[in-house]
Amino acid sequence: MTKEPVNEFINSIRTRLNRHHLWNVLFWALLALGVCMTVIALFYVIPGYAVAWQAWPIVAGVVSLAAGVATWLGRRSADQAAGFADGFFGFKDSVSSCAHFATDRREGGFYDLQAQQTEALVKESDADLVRYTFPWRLAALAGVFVTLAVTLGLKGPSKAVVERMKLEQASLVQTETANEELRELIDELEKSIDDEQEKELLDPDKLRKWVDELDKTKDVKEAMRQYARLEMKLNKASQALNQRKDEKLLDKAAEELRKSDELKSLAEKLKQKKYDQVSADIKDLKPKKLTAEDLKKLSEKRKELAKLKAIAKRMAEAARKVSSKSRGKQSNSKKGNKKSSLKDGTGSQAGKSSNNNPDDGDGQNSENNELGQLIEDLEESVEALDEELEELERQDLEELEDEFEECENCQQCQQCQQCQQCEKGVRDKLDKLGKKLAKMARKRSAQAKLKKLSKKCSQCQSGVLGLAKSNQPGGKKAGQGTSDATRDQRDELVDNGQNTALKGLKGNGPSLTKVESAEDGTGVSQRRAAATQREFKRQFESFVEREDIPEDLKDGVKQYFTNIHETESPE
Amino acid sequence: MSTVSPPNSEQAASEFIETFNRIRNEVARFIVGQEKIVEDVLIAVVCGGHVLLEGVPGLGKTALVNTISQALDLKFQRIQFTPDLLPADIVGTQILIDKDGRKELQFQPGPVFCNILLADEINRATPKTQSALLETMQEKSVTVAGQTHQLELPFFTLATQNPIEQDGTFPLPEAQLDRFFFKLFVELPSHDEFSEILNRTGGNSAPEINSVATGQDILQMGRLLRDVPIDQPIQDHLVRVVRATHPTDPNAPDEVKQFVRYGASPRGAQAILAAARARALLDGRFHVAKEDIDRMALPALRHRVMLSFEGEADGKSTDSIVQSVVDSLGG
Repeated sequence: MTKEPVNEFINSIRTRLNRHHLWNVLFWALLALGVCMTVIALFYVIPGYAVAWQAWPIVAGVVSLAAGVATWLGRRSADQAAGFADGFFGFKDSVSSCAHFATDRREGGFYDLQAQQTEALVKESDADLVRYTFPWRLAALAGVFVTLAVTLGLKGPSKAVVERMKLEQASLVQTETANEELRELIDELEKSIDDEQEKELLDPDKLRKWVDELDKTKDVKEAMRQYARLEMKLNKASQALNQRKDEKLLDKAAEELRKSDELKSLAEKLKQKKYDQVSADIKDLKPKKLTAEDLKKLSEKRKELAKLKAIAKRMAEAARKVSSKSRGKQSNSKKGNKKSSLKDGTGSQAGKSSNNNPDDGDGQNSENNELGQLIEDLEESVEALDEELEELERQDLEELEDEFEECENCQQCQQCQQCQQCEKGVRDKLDKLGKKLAKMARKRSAQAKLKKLSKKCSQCQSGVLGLAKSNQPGGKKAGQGTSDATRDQRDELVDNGQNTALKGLKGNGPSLTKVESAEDGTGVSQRRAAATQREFKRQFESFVEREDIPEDLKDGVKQYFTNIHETESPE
Repeated sequence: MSTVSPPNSEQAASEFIETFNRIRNEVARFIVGQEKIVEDVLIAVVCGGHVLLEGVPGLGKTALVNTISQALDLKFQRIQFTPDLLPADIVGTQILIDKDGRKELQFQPGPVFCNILLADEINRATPKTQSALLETMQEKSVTVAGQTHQLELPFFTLATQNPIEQDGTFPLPEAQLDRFFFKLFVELPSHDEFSEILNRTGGNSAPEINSVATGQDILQMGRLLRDVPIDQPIQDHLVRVVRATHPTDPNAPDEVKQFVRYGASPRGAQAILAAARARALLDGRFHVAKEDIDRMALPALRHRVMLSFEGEADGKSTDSIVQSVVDSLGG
């Protein structure tokens, strides 16, 4: 008994069902794709970004894979197809029973009758009646989601996001450029240094390493922070080269030297802190070795020495003044320390710390003492040499010449030895002073270079800050800036009673400048506060003068500034 | 596997349907309506099963059984069950007789020795008397004084019981209930059926019922049913249905888990299978379908499912429980 028609019927139904399943999976996959794409699009669009199209192929791939797996797993077996046919055509399990009986090789009797009956049913039935029901709702829903996703995908980023991204990009470029400029500046500074010792003081490799540590970043704040950190490092390095005490001493010396007309040029150089030139000048003043020839014109020799003597004397005077002042301060501070130590019972420790670090300001006291001592020693040496020459001048010239000639060969004459020793002492002292001044000149040069670098660093910060401010949406609010770039034309200022010009006789009014006396290196710098105050004032004035600002708002701003600043009433 | 060749099978199936329809039509000459009840009773008869008919008085339960007995050329007995009925009154007893001058005990068969036994109002007898039918219904034999007497086949019991007037009644024990192939509810006839009943019974003459089948025909029909094939998935479905009436079964619906104490026995599954085969043949098919299983599950299982106290308290019916089982398994 053949079961071929039944099998064909089942296979036909199975093919149709698998095709329908494929269509269903496709529509579901389309819906899933639409939903996923929409979710991804919303993820980007809600914060204002443009949709990243790169994510969509990945989602499409995953959905396709899932659809493929679902299609494979959802394939209908012959058994399922037979069951479906029974249900669809109302065969009351005839087809599936027939198929199972055939599989189990059950034949004869009722089995054959059942097979014949099923075949007859199958022949009367048309498998084409199993039609695919198009899932309109599913398709419509999938279409809606896909359309929505594509629409959202075509939407560009919001204005704020565009500006932010621009700012980030600009910040990246700005930081990169700034870092490059800093590197170039360091190279330039290094090239400009001829002196190895000055190069050692500046240490360009360390500076380059600091700059290399700077990252190019999109974050404006981070960029500013890193430039601020670099600036701080540079300032510390600059402070390490600080020689304010010595410079002050030399300033005093310049003042002393200026009192003499002959030494004015040297004083000017010192005042202008041209220490290398001063060092060269002092070398020129070095006394030459005393010879027999010189004995004849000792007075001239003394005249030559007189200039050096005057310089040494005046510089020593200045050193003494500074030294005595310093000692006075130290004694005062010691007294203060003693008092405080008596109060808190830590006198010994306080005293120790005071001794260990006598000048907490900049640690320059030892160098100051060294320079002062050097100058004083120079004065003593010059004095001694001068006295020796005076002594020689008083002796009989011929006798002296003879002796000197002998002495020159034997080097045993006491008079001669003393004189030469004095000369040597003066030369040594002058050498030391010259070296000291040259070193100061180098330090000053290195410090200037560091300051230049620090200034460049500040410029970098300003650049980044300006970048951040310039891209902020909207105008600056009251109290935040003075930009009036939106004004097309300037109006003539009218007298609104806000006259700030003072009228009166010069020198009769109260001075707005207050001179405060304070110790060197102590106290807080007022420069930043003054700058801020000046900026506030400018903002205030520009705001008050603007006509597009309502009067009540102006009054409010005036009141605000009145409240935050202490106004001094004129005396 | 088959015992008959296709032409014989086809002929046997045709004869089955023809005989069945002949009996049904003959019964229908007197019984108005109740087609489903009649069909189920006849299915139970051809399957060799016993039927418990439940319905209020006056619906024609006894008349139905009487009519069927008349339509079949079989020996019919009727026992009116009363509380004072004794087992010996049913199965028979030994009596002392004088035989050739000698006194000896001789077995006097009771009314149970027949082909069709009408146990009218079976729940009015005491459990002891009801139990007298247990062996008769299952083994189709009677044991009295240590001697077993076989009943003539076919034998089937058609019992009736009244759902109201429960005073003085004795509910059938579970063992007794399980021996009934079907439990059928006889319902109130429709308006037209009512009118037709009056027409048929209101006159002087009642319709004459002729016997249209013999006991051998019934036995032959019963044997034929066993050859009707059932596909394994359909049989699995049958097993699942019966097992799902047990609250411990994982496939059991929540209603069963909540309201059922005990489910149906394998005897219930046998009853469904036999009845489903009969129904398949009557439907013109040569295989059992799920539809047959689901259709026969209710009459075959409704008396085999025991409600829990909660189910009784909630007024649940075993019909709704069985239906929920069938529905939950995709019937």
